[in-house]
Amino acid sequence: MRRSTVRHALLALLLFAIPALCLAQGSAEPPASPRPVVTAAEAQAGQPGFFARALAAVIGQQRQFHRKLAATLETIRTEGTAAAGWTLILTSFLYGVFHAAGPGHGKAVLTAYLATHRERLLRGILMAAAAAAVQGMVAILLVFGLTLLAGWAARDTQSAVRWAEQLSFALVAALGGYLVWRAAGGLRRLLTRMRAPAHAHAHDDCGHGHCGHDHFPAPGRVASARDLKAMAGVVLSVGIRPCSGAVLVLAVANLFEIPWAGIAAVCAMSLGTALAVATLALLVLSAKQLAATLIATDSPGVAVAGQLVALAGGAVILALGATLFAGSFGPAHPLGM
Amino acid sequence: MDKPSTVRGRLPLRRWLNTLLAAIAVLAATPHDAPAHPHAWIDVKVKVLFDDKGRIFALEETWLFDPLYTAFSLDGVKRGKDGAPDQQAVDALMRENMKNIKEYNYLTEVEANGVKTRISGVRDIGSGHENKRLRLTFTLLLETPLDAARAAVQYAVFDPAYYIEMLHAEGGGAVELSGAGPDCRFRLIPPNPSPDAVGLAAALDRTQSGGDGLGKLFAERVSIRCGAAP
Repeated sequence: MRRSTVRHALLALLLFAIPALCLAQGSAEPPASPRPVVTAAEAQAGQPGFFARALAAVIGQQRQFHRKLAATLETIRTEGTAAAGWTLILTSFLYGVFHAAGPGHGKAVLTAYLATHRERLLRGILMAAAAAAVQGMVAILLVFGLTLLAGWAARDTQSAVRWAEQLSFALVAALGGYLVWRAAGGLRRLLTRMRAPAHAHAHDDCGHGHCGHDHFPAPGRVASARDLKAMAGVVLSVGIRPCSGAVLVLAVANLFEIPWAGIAAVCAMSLGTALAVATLALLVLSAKQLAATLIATDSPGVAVAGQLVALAGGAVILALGATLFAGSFGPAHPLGM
Repeated sequence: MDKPSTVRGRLPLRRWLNTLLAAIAVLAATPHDAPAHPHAWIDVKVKVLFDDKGRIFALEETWLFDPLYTAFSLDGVKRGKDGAPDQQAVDALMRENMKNIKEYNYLTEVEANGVKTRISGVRDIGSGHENKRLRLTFTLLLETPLDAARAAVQYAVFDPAYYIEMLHAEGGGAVELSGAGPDCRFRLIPPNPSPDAVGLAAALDRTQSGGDGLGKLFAERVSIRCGAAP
C-alpha cells in the first residue's frame, strides 16, 4: 500500500515537473560564479542541456524571422505582389510561433494558473487563444489609435508600449492577489466544515462550487462567475501587453502606406502565438489530469490540498507580477527601442 | 473503521503537496522577462586608429541602422523635395542617441589582456541618411593608448539587452587598422555562445543580468595583435 503511494507520488512529481521544466528552460540553477567571457572552447566543452540548446535555437530563429519581416515589408511596398503578401503572412505566423516558444511572463502566468487551478482542457486552450488574440488587438488598436487618430510619431508608440507593459504587470499582481484571497476563503470554509461535528462527511456539500468529491485537478462542471473572473483576469493581464515586434511591424506598415499588410501580419502572429501557447496549456492540463487519475483518493483532505495548491499558485502569480512591476521602472532602451 | 482510509488519505496528500510545491517552486524560477531577441539591427564598421608610436588610441565607428528602425525613427521628420529627411532633424535624433548611449559606454567594450579600458571622450560625431538607412559615426578616445604588441587587445560592439543586433558589416572592410605597422593584424571572432549560457541569460530578468545580459553572448569580438605575439 505504502509503496504504491510513494510510486504514485513520484509519478505525480514527474508529471508536474515536465511542463514546469519546459518553462524553466533547463536553467533553474544559477552557476556558482558568473562567467565573464564565454570562449569558443568553453562553448564546445560539456553537453548543454536540451532546453538550453532549444532556447538558443529559438532566439536564432526569431532574429532570422525579424530580418525576413523587414525585407518582406520593403518588397510589398516597392513591388506590391501577392507572393510577397503571402510570404509576409507565413513569416509572421512562424514569428508568432517562435515568439511564443521562448520564455515570457505571459506563459508563466497562464501555466502557473492552469497548473494550480481546476480548469477544463478546452477552457485552458481557449484562454491561451484568447490571450493571443487580445495581444494582437491591443497592438492594432494602440498603433492605429495613437498614430492615425491621435497623430503621434511612430517612435512615440514605444512609450505607450511601456505603459501597457506596466499595466499588464500590475494586473498580473492583482490577479495573483485575487487568487490568493479566493483560495484562502475556500480553505477557511473547508476547514470550518471539516471541524463541524454535524457534517462528518464534507463531500456532501456542493454549495460553494467545491464538492467534497472533486479531486482538485478534476475540472469543474460549469464555470462559475468566479472562475470566469479569474479566467478573464489571466487573459487580460497577459494580453494587454503588446509584443513590441508586432507594434514595430504595424507602425512601419502604416508608414509604408500598406496598413492592411501590417494588420494581416499581426493576425498571423497572433494565430501562431495562440497555437504555441495552447499547446503548452494542453501539455500542462493533460499532465495534471494524468496525475489526478493516478492519485484518485477520496478524502476531504484532497479538497484542502486543492485549495492550498490554488493558494500557492496565486502567491506565485502575485510575486511574479510584483517583481515585474517593480522592475519595469528601469531606464528605457538607450536607442529608443 | 474509518482509520485505514484516513491513513491512506493522509500520506499521499502530504506527498502530493510536496510534489506540487516543488513544481510551483520550479515555475516560480521561470524566466521573468522574455529574452529580448533583436528587434532591430545595426551594421557596424570600425576603424582602429593607431598613433605614431604604434599604439591604439581610438576607435572610429560607423553604424548603419536597419530600414525598419530608420522608418520608425524618422516618422514625422521634415523631408526635402527628394524625400530625404531633414539633416538637422537627423542630427538631433542622433545627438539624442549619443547622449543616451554614453551611459552604456557607447555600447563598446575595449579590453587589453582581459582588462577593460576606459573611454575618455568622444569626437567627430556625424550622422546621415543613405539607402533608407540612418548612419551614425563617432570616434571613441581611449584613456590610455594600447600597445597591441605587448597586450592582447580586443573590442566588441554590442547592445547588452540584445534588443538590437550589432554585427560587423558583411562583405569585408568592416574592420580597418589605420596607421598600424605592417606586422599588425586583426581577427574577427564570430559569436559562439554556449547554449547553457544563453539559457541562463534568458532566465535572468533585466535587473539580475548585471548589465551584460544576452547581448554580450551574441557579440562579435575583434582581436588585434602586432609583432610576433600569437
